[in-house]
Amino acid sequence: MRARGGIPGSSVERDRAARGESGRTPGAQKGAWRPHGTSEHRTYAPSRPRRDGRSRRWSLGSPLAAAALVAAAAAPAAARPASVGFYSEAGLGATGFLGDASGWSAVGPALDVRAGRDLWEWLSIGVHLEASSHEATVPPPPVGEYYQLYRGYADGRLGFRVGAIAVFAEGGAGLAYMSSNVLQKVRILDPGERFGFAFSAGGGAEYQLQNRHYAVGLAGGWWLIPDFASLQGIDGRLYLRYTY
Amino acid sequence: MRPAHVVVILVAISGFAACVDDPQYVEPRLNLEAGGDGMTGPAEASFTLPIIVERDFDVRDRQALAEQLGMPADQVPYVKVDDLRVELELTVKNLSDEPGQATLKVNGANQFYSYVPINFVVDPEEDEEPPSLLGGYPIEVPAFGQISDTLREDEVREASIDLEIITRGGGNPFAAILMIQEDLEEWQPVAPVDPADPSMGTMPVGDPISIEAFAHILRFDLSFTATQHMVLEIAARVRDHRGIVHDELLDAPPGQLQPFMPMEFTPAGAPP
Repeated sequence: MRARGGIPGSSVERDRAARGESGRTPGAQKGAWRPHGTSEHRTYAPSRPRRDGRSRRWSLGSPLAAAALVAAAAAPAAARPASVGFYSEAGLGATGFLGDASGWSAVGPALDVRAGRDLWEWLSIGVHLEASSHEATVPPPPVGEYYQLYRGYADGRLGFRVGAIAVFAEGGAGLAYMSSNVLQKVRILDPGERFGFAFSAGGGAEYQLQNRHYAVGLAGGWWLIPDFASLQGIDGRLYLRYTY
Repeated sequence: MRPAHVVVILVAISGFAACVDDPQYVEPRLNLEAGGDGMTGPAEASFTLPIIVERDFDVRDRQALAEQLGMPADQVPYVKVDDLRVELELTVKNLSDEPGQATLKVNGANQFYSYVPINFVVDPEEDEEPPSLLGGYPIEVPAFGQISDTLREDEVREASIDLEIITRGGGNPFAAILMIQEDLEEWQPVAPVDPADPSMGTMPVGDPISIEAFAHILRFDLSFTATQHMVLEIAARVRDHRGIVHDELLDAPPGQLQPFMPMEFTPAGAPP
């Protein structure tokens, strides 16, 4: 069809002209400069309610302003949801000893796995297994010998989340097993002793990934094995947590 | 299966696997001192691995193996050569202000026989003393210094085989100790060379002994010499494949340990 006076003759051509190069409707072009939102159904961030100007000037000292700040800080939590439920966790780190025992054992690598359930967002219970390997630095002989320390706890974790970041404190009680009696020479172990009760306490911080199931974290703790001549130490770990 | 599940399962399996054959350190608390003023001759001591009393099922297993090998049950040892892996860890400290040389000779016994090299010296004028089962080499130790060394698991296993070849197998100690026998599957016992007719060589006696019926060394006899005032400390690192080493090691009550009474082996023709 021919155009008359520069006006497209067909409705299709008129529509194309109105959309321009972007191919969007004039209404959609109004908000095209806005950053994309998270929803696949909306290509730009939603408009905010217009203010009449009277509420713009807030005083930082007022309780209302403080409450608004807290609310603003909590607001991103909705944008970074985290699953709550059964979880498993695997971490890598290092374990070292405190006190006299630090002279008889070197710092060693540690592997850590946990599994359990979040009862609420702020409380989890579970089991925690940790294995670490250490060089025994006892008076020779022997020289250059390694042993492994295994610890298993029933533990609990208490924490809260601000946005993508969660902080927590944790603690547990359980059993420890030492793979050899090499520390018997320095009287950390008694003859025939391999198992002992163990206690742990610690804390850390966790970052929730975009995927609601995954989080990574950094944690540290202190542990005590009273049966092994009150052997105690500290450990740190970097971990990945999966919540179902 | 999710990756987290796999990690948890693998760690659990490796944890259980790690508990098997964990080494234990037997500390005989022997401070062998040699080379000091007034110390003449080698310092000598012995220690025996703490093996628990033979259980009923151990006896049944031993009898079953004897039947399988066609041997009398009392010729199959309770502690066989592959039941244990033993390593000797030693440290020599030089207490003097002069560098010196230390030598440790290790012989020993299984449940049947002990090996004493001097017993093979029939004519002191002509016969050389056979080597020790383990050690016997010089260790240079600096003044006020210390040196640590290891007699490895494979060396101790080899020494156990050599001990059987020399004693129940009737083999020549020089040949047995200087040759590597780690791949031996069986040994044909031989009668010693007849001094009246040495050209006949050794003659086979009885049936071959399978390596499965070779005994492990259970007692270690240490002989320590030094050119300066030195002290030797020793520990045995034991990996127990059968669960026959007592948990309390040398602190175990004697009644819970298997008594072994090996005979001192004397070759035919040796002076009584």
